[in-house]
Amino acid sequence: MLPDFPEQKAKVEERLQIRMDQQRLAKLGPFGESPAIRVAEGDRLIFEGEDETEREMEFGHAEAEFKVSVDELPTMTIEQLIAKLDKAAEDLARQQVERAVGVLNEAVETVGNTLHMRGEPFQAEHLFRALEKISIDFDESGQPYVPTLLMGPDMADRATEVVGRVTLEADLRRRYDQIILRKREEWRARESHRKLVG
Amino acid sequence: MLERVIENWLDKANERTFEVPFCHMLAAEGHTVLHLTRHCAMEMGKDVLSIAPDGVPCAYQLKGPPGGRIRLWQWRDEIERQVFGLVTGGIAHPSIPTTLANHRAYLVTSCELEEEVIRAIEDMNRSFVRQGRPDCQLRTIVRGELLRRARDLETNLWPTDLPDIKELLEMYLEEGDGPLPKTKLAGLIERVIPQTAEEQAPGKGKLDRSLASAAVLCALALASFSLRSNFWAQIEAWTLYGGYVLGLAERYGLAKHIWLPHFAIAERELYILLVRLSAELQERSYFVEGSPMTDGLVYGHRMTVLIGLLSVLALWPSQKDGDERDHNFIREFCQRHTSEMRLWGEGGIPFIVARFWQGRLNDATPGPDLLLRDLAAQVSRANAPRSTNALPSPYYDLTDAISHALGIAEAPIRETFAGRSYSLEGLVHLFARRMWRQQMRFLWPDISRVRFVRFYPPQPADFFRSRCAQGITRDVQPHQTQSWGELLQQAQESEGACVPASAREFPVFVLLYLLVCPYGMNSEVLRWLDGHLA
Repeated sequence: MLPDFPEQKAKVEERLQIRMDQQRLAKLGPFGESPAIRVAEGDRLIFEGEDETEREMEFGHAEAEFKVSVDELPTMTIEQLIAKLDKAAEDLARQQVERAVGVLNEAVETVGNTLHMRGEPFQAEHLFRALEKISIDFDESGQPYVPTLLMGPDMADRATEVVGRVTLEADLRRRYDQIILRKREEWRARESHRKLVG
Repeated sequence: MLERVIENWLDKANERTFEVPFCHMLAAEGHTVLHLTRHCAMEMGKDVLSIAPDGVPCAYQLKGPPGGRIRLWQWRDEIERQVFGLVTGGIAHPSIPTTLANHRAYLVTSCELEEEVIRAIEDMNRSFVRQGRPDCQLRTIVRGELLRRARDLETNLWPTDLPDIKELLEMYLEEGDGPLPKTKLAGLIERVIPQTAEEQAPGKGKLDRSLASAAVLCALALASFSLRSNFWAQIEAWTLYGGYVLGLAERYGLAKHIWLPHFAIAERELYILLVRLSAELQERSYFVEGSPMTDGLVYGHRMTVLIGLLSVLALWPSQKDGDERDHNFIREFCQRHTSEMRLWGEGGIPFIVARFWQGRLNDATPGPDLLLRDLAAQVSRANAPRSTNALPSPYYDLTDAISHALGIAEAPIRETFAGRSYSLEGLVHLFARRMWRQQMRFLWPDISRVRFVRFYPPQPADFFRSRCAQGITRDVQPHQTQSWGELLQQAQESEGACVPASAREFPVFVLLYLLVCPYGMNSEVLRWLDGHLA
């Protein structure tokens, strides 16, 4: 055989794989911060709600490929290799986000929690109506775990502007605080149901 | 190549390390093995007792002196007196009827005999004949015979492709002072013991040879750990083996007489290893092992393992041929060191639950119940939604958990454990069975925030598989408002539908299996165990 350095190459590959995974997570955006569970064995995953309704999670498949041609090898640098892997990580992340958004949409439709904007630009009113529709949890000091707002890239700037206005404009801020106050009461009521009876 | 490995193993073996595989060879030849010793001062020269297929009792003295050859001085100084007792002394064992007066006596050695020793044995046998006792004869089984017997097993099932041979050799060449590479061993055993049921079960002879062959493979892979008296590693290995035997029995619906002899040998070996571990602890003043500088980082985990194992020993059913346990020591050790236990993840839960059952054996105070309460409280708080210090799932074993806790793992864990638990439902049910309703009221708000996770293998036979490709994971949200009556009703159920029929007679083994493979733990099996052990 020709001279080779398998141990060193394996170490580099291991680190590249870790980096690729980190890149994939970064590209997932808010989905990268959501809880991830590993199904260690078996081929089916069923979620059972408190009302004993069942929902089976279908496993999706994501794949990405990258090619290194023999012609490229003599001049290939580690930066070029990383760029190829980053592209593959981005591909994987895109597939995961598409799938996650699909599952979210389906879940929202199923429980009738859809908010139709009827072609209007995103406004504070839409944000308030969205907040009204969901339940919000609070930490031990009473601070809300404010949900993440997921927007398409074309609406991102507009959403940032609306959220900024809600933070700065007194009327909007008051309305937001009232919603949070009400949500806190709802949360307390929910929490007070956590008990053993009988 | 594998034959060379067996030869090398026999060269290094002592009587302890080839005792179990030898017993499996006997079982494969139709013997019923009744007893194997822990090689203590009380052994009286009979290491192994069996009944041969023709009904004659057999007694074996095992010798594995290093040096490759038993020399005349060793024969004269150490062995002759012992084998005289072996040949002439009767066998006192509850399973051997006293009417069976004569027995066959064997000296079994993993090395060769010097010519002078062979001559001395012949002289001894002739003198018995002259004395009118022709039934008293010493037979020998030496290295070559052991090699032949090992070869006659289904070694054609042994790994033949290079990656598997590499795995075996890597295990064989381990230092033997660390944890057992369980995944590697499970993979090797699964090569020899069939995991998917064919239409028809193989014949008894083939199954006997497969099970014995897997046992020899297991002993071979375990050689370094055995020579270092690494009890925990050996216990893990024979527990895995025992689980595979029970799984095979369940898969094919085998008659008991086919699989029980092999399972009984593994079970007896596990008991001996636990007794030897207990004896070692009794002799020690400190429980530090290896480099003391960093031992404090793993000391609590070690104590959890030790207390869990001693608890299993305390719960072990009484042995027909005498109880070798020091119950007072076990009780005191567990009591004194319980506060030193450290939970590394949900994989540590079965160790503490074993301590709970052990505590109930002789502690009438609420102490054991409150241990359970504290455990349920700890898990529900640690694994609360958004927790940043959630306990890893039982799929992460002690070595994984230590590596991550100490920041030396090769890759970070990308999984979230917060908000769900594999063990909490079982702990809640065990505690509810103790009828502490008021205490449960305090716990419930935290419990209700954590989803209960259960895994259902496709069939009971898969309970003892290291990982199932098929099966259902259920992730269940507990009720926010829970009726005590309903909870109690769920908690009282103890049919243990997931426990294979073949394992139902061996609840303590099932508990030990959960210590070794904690991912088998679910509320169903914990309730079933509680029905048998509490």
